[in-house]
Amino acid sequence: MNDSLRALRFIYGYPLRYRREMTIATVVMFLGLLGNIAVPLLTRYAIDVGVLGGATETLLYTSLGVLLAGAATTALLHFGKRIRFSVASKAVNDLREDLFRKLIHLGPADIAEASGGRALTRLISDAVSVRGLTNGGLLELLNQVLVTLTMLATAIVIDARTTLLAVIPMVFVIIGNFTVQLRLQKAFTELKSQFTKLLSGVGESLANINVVKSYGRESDASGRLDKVNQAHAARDGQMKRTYSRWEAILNVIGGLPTPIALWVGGQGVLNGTSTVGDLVAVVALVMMFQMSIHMLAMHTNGAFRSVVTAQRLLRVMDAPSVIAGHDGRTDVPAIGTVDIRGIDVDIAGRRVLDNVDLHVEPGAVIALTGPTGSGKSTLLHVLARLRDPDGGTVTYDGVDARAYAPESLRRHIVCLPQRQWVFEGTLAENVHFVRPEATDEQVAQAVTAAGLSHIPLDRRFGASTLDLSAGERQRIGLARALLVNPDILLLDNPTANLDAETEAALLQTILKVRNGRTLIIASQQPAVTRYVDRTVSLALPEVPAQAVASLAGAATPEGGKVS
Amino acid sequence: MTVTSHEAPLEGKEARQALLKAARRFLPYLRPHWFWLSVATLMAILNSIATIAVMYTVMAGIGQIVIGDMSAVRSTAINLVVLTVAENIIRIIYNSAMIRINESLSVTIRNDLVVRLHNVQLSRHVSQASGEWVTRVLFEANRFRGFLTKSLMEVANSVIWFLAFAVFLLALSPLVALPTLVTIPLMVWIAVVWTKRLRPDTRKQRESWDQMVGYLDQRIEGLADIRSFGQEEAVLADLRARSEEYSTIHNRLSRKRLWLTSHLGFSVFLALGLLIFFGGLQIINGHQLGSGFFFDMAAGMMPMTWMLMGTDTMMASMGMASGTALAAGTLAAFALFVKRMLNPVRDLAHQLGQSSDIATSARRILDVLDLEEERSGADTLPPVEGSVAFEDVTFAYGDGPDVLHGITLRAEPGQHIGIVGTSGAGKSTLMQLLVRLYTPTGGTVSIDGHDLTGMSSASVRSQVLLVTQEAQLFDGTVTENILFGQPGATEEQVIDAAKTLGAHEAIMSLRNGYETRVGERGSRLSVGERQLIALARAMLADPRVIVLDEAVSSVDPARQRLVLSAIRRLLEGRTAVVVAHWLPLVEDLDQVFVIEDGRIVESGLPVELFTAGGRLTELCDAQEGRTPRNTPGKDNAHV
Repeated sequence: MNDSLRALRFIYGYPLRYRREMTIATVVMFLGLLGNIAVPLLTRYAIDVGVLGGATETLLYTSLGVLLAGAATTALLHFGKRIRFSVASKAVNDLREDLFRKLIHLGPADIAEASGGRALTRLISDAVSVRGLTNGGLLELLNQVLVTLTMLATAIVIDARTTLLAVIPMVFVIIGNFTVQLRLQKAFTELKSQFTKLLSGVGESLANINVVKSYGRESDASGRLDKVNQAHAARDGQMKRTYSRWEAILNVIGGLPTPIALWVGGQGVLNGTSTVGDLVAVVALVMMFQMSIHMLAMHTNGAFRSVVTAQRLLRVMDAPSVIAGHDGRTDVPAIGTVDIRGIDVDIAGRRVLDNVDLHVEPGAVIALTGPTGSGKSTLLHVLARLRDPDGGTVTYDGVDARAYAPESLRRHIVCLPQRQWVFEGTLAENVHFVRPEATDEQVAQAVTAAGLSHIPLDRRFGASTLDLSAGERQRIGLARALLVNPDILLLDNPTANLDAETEAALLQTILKVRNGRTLIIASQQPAVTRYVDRTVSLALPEVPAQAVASLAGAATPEGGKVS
Repeated sequence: MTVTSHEAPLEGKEARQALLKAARRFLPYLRPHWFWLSVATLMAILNSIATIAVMYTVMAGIGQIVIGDMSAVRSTAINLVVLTVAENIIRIIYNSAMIRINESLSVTIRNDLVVRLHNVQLSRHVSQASGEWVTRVLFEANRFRGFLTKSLMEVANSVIWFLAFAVFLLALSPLVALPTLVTIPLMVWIAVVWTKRLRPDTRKQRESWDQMVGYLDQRIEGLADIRSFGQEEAVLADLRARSEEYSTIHNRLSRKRLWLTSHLGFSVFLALGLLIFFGGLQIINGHQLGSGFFFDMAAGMMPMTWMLMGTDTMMASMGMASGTALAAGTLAAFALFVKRMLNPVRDLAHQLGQSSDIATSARRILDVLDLEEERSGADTLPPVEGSVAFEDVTFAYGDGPDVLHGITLRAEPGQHIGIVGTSGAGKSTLMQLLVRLYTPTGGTVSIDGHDLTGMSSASVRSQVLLVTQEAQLFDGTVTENILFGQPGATEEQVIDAAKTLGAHEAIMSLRNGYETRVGERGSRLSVGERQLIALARAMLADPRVIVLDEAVSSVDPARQRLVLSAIRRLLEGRTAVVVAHWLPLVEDLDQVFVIEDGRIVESGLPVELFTAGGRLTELCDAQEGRTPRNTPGKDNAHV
């Protein structure tokens, strides 16, 4: 329950950042809804005075009154909704920005963990659901409650006895609605997870279409999905059926106020305690009250469902960041020596680096070798402060790494990921993004130095960059690094998917453009060790050190600690 | 994963044609449900009648109160309760018919899309990111199912309601009916006008949204790079600018849509205002409501209503003496029910406003359903020994340039041949031709002399197996992944396959052994573990010819010996075509073909090519030191 409340507070926090606008919208819309109540009152007047009293002119006035009330209601609702739309857009943008900010600051492994691999869904459809909440949701619920109470009060003023007797069944309807919603909530969550399963099932099957086709298992694969699909559809149908039955029962109970009002109110007319107009107005208000309760149930339903979405979003927002803070000195001096002492890193409960020491002198060229999972990438991330270690220290020329603002640090120490990101845009744009203030000339120089002069700078890459070879992709990363011109360059497995020839050419380029800077290359390929001054080997925590030494071949662990 | 689509939504005539075309294609989906559809339609008719009966009862009840007949009021109340129960029983039947149809439709439409996507040419998958397919299968299918059931039925319901209501109204009094009936075409007209005005904005909004999704998708892919270069704030600022741009477009559309809603909302008040004025005026002027031709016609309709309402009320209301009483009742009932009367019409108008969206969804689904299925021959490849031959094979993807030029090569049964070359030389294409993932544009690919072009792809793939570049696994257990090779196999056979390869210990050392879940695409395992499982899967499938397409391009040093020996055991006794950069593997082969730009430039024994100073030598020199070299030219029989 506490979780749900927190989730609600989180998600409504976004529209409520615009408190003034939301207050105006709520008040305006409330006034608009009041216009609806004016109609039964006008009808009452038309019947009593106009029709039964025979006063023709009142009919004209009432008609005009209805039109005026209609115009006012429509205009107020229009105005209120308009404000809400603009607040909703702002709220969605804010939430999306916060989510994206969070995602940027999470480690790659944490992103998958936090978002179930579906970061995009969170950013898009879940974020958009805030729009729905702003336009409907709790505030609408509040409005509806206020309007319902006003209706009730008006009806009571006209004919208290009839009204009170008529609304008794509605108490049961309200209780019934809450019960149904709570029951459906569970089914709804289940249904959502089933849909996610279906989504990833289809995605996976199509991503692995090669294997499916190789084994001629097309029908098995689609059959497997069909099962999930059927289960989902059946659950969905079952939920709707349950709802439909409950709805019918509640509708029958909710239908009682009209006959009660007619009967009790009719007696009042016959006894002379009220007029036909009173009766019609009360019946109309009671019918509106019924509708209102229905709307209330719908909005409650929306609020219930928004909890599910909010909880999904909170999973991302609550994921711990891999960097302690983003503040610190922005005036980072040139970095020479890097020292790491006794660092430990745990990822998802597993110790990846255990008490590792490393001393890097200025201008060193170091190979970092070791099998998959030995923590090479993690060590690079720690060196570049892309991740703070759980224990131990990292110092740059004796200054603690945490003293510097991470973003300023990255002008001086750059870590190229294993796979280079190529986005939709020209080659120049793809390189330029790392240093927006660079000139076109500097971009061109970096591209040429990285060995990409055969690709025109204005060549556009599509969403699927199939036309780039693996080597060219790596060189785009290199061009980016050269444009930044950092003091220290870290390369994470740059030759992983390259054939030997391309690998050699790439490594030669990397060394050619080193320009005296410190270079650390993490790689599984022992070939890399031929290009470096020093090799540091990392071992898998469970594998004995000797085994690693023999597998790594030419590795010569000197200063680095074999852990 | 890319979810973007840059197709413009359809408009106007084009949209109507697409809808018609889609309707023709999708009506067969509805055909098996004719019974429940008829039930639903019947219920919709009964529901309209019941609603009118409720109105009439209230009307008559108020009339009786005016007259002062209390006994009739009591029976009115009872009748109302009975009618509400009847209305809801009708609704339950209607709902369960629609739920049944919906359930079945969502299964069949999705299933058809999934089956089609699994059976299309592989090249379609290359040119279309899989994420976009997923969107189509799930979201567009849902949307279209919604159209087939909800929207179509809503339109039908609105029309049925409109007809029933018009008859009832005209029967009561044409003069009172007229103001209300005039409002209805007005509402439809408003909807049509606004829909037209909304179109350019709808299109802009959709385009802008697609761009936004594409942008976010790419930034998520590039998170690591953005962090590495410290560009977080720059990207966030860019995102904010784009979000705001999208918001501007979205808000413009929302505001225009709001005008439509407001116009329709006001129409209801307009109807009520006109009703009070004209209806009231007539009553005062002494026109008796409920007379003339329409009333007689309505009388013919009454017996049906009678059964629902109970005769006593009916008799009482028919015998109602005072015109004023009935008039007051009528006016009151109209005032009470005006919203309920016009809501179906408002819904219909909203549906009209969405036709352009639906047409776009329909086209996107049809795009998938109309994809050409993989061409497959009719003949079954008989059991083969495994002699593979390429004769002067050329190939091009679609209308593109040739990527293979006159390839000729042979492998005798049990022989292991290798294909070497730089990335993009055409090696993978060659392999895919051999398993009939594609059909050559020229020349023949044959096994044991049977031209594969005439063979069904299933029969080819049951004997020729492609093990691809990345060891692709499915979310499931290790056993399930291996079983994929031969679904009928027993657990012992799975373990045997792993043991034969020498992978058993490695699997047993996983957290739950064979029952370990491998995660999405095998993400919870190391590269080496994934490769071993993929090889065990191939072992279990037991094909005659095996095609290894760079199956071990990235080798995990911790597992490389194990993987190498597993491959050797897998190839033993089978014909093999191997694409590899990995020297120890190349050295095992009987013959190696070096391919460059889609042509064979060198061929011979590995040992010859290593020493001849040709391309293979260059390739190997580049790789020196990358992996420890064994003595070249060993025969492949060793393990």
